[in-house]
Amino acid sequence: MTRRYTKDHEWIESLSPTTARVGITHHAQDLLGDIVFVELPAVGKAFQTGAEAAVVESVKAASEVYMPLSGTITAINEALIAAPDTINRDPEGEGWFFDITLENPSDLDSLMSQDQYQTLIQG
Amino acid sequence: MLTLPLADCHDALNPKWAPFAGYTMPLSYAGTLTEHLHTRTHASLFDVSHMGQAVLNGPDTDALLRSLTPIDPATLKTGMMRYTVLTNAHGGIVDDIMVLRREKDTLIIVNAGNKAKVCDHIAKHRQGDVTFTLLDNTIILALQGPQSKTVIASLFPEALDLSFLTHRTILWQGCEITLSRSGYTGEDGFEFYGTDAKAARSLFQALLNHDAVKPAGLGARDTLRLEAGLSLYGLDLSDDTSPVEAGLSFVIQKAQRENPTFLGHETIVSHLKNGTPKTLVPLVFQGRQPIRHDTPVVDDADHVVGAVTSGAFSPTRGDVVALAYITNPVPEHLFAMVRGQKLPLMRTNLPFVPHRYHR
Repeated sequence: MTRRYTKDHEWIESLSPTTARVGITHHAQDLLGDIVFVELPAVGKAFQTGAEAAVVESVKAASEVYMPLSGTITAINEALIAAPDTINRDPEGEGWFFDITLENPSDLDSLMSQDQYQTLIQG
Repeated sequence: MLTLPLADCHDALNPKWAPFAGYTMPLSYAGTLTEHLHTRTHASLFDVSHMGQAVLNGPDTDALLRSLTPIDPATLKTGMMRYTVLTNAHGGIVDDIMVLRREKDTLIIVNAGNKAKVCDHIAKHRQGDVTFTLLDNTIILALQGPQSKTVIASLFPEALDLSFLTHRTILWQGCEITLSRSGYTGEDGFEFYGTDAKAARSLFQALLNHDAVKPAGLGARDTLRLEAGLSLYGLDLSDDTSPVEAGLSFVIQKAQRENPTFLGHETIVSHLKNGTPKTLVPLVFQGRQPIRHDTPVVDDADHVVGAVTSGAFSPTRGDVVALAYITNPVPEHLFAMVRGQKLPLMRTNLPFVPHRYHR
């Protein structure tokens, strides 16, 4: 399992050589504050790297969730719709957003490691 | 950026900070939802010292009030306070203010973002023997929520007989503080208007020391005031909206309707009699997707008929509430356009959450 991070505060973790799970980081949920609504993509939909794949709304503001890498949605975390606060409670576990099949699995290595991401958010 | 006189007290509580009206303000401590619900069930302490305290003094105080606000000063006796607006020449709102009649003077509470504008406006229109002085580094603390009265009972039992929108002077560490039964959350509550930071600092700690009290920030203040149907200047009110359009007709007192003397009364009295071009309409969306400031509102045929001025997920109700200016006549069916989706809105009456003032 490799977990990688984007500068837009998404995490992506490989589930198999060609599939991965996507969510937002602990840092992202902390910046957003109390999350009250989430809009998830349709299963089967394909997105390019950086495309807007989901929306998360906190008490404060709306924020886009971008596709960390090109791929197709295979599953969404429907439990978030009724309980969006799960994202605040466990953003990097139970609060995952969606699973994808990767168009180019090797691209995972182009994203930040946990150490690199920690450096980014502390800087 | 200006800092609050009690910024160091907040630092110790480790809040998230946010800029607002030129001030660095505590946005939240435990989280906006938690603070919101705590205010509705217990009691929360808000530091709203960004707002200005100004003092009117002199025999022509009432003449000034009569000429610049729709107040009937004869009804405002010592110990009373009243929510009103400063109007401009075309009937718009310069600021929404609180006026407290004290023994020696009249205290005016103005919005942080409007301090300079209000000073200019009053300097321009002031006549006769009256002074208007905006005080520096003043402190306003708001204790809000159903358990506020038990906190006041333990610290200021002499103030428990206050009813909603009345006030009295109390002494704290030798300093005079004006204590009112008022607030901007829809709950029973009290507000402290002080001028001494040292006394205010120890008062802040004394209030927080009570088991029922937790600190709350600007985030919770905004969702609480919206649920209570209370307007926010800069969003719901402006120089170009009349109090009638804003749903604030109640501020125009009887004497000022019969024999109006306030600035801009021609437009405002006409709005009362003949209706307004637009109306601030309270709306509910039965979902969780927040509808925010500036969201377009459309009719059945997708014509834009207005825009949201304030909107938020309502923590108390569990759905979404909004205020929007809609062109008259207001169509029967209204929708909010959010990211290409047409969300159906229901018209309702204010407040969104019932008031629980101590009358």
